Amino acid sequence: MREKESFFFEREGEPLSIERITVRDIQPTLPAQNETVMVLQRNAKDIREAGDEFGALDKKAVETTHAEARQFFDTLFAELEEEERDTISIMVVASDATLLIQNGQPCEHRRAIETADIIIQALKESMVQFNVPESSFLNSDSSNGEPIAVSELRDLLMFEESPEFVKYMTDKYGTGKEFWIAYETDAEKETRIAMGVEGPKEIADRVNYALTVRARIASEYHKANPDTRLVVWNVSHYDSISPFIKEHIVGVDVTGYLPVEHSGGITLQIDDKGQPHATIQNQKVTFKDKTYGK
Amino acid sequence: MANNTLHYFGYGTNRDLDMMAAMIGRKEIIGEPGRLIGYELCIQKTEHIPGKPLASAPAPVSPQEIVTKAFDENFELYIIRPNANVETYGTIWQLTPEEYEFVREWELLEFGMQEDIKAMAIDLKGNIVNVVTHGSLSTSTPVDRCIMGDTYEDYIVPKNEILEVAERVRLEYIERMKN
Repeated sequence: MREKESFFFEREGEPLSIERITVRDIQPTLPAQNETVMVLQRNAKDIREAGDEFGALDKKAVETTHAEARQFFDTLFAELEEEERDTISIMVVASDATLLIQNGQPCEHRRAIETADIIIQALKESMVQFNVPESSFLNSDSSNGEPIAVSELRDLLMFEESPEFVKYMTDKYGTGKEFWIAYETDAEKETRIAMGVEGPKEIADRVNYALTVRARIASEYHKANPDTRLVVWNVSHYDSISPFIKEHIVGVDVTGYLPVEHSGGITLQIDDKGQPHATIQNQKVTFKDKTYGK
Repeated sequence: MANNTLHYFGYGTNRDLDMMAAMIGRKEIIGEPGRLIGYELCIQKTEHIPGKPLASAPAPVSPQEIVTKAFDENFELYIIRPNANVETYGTIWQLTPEEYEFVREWELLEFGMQEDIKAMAIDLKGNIVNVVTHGSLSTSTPVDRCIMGDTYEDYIVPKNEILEVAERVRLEYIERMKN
């Protein structure tokens, strides 16, 4: 339990009625001055068939992810007057995870980073078209123009932290769909806890932790750069995003099933007073007041 | 930053130039103060350091055994772990990937004493910097105590002693790599 921490995205009120998260839920939303828009996206589809391309992004997925990202940035930049286009800053962040699956082929592909590469390519094209200054792309200074890699957006920590639990699960459920259903529904909760392994609730909190850290950094950025608009695009994975959305956005049982399609995700906003808000599938998410004392 | 360097966030003893020089064998290192957002700085005693050898470790020996042999049972170690509401003060160093391997060796990452972490730091000018560092990604990692603020002691083990061991570890690592 992360008892000492207070998270930024703490929902309240009735659960939302959402059955599936798609790429259309990443709504192009222009932040006002001193505001932040955060995208949380699942990585693009990758190739799981054994062979040379195992773990690489699917070519068609690359094309569609690029087109969607391009449309997102085109829409944002088009809403800005020519003289306002130096007020927007964009940062692209991604999980540093390599593909690890039980009894799987070793793989160096990093599907979130590779998805973020596509987002950056689309962003740069859009910036050129709309005359957005190069300095607006914050990764240029932070990470030589590459995605900012972070560990807290990884998918599942159990493969690295507890091979014993993975063996216990594969012995009982095999390496196919049953394994994943058992993990997602927390069917072996007692054993998992006894072995000190992260479960769905802890993963949901870890992603909230990651976004809380991002919100703090955004707040510092706005203090140092008054009147700017900030977009922070985060790429993670199904196993981390789905629990977060269930627990902290939709408000349903974290061990239930909420599909998030490849390259799908959500858009969250933080206003100029530091208050989070979001509207997903025309439903408003109510978050606890984060402006107290500010 | 040159293309062949990376930003390493050194905290605890590793925010000090003398320690870094002993670890990587170079004294002119570019570094500036920074803050690692979302990680708390804590101290482990030997009893908190992993006592079981990692299956993938280069040798069947635990981190606890290694540090107890190199120092003694009163050894204390800085470590970071996630906490959304705090930050760790340290130094953002510019190192080559080869020099960072000296840091990984010293921190016994292959032996499982800590984990590789990629994160975001902020420098004195307010710039966001993508850094590599090491610590724990688990909030439940056992520690003796945690520290707030910038004014902590860099050295919690006698300075001469730790610098001497760091030099020795680096030279042994170079010898091992030659073979």
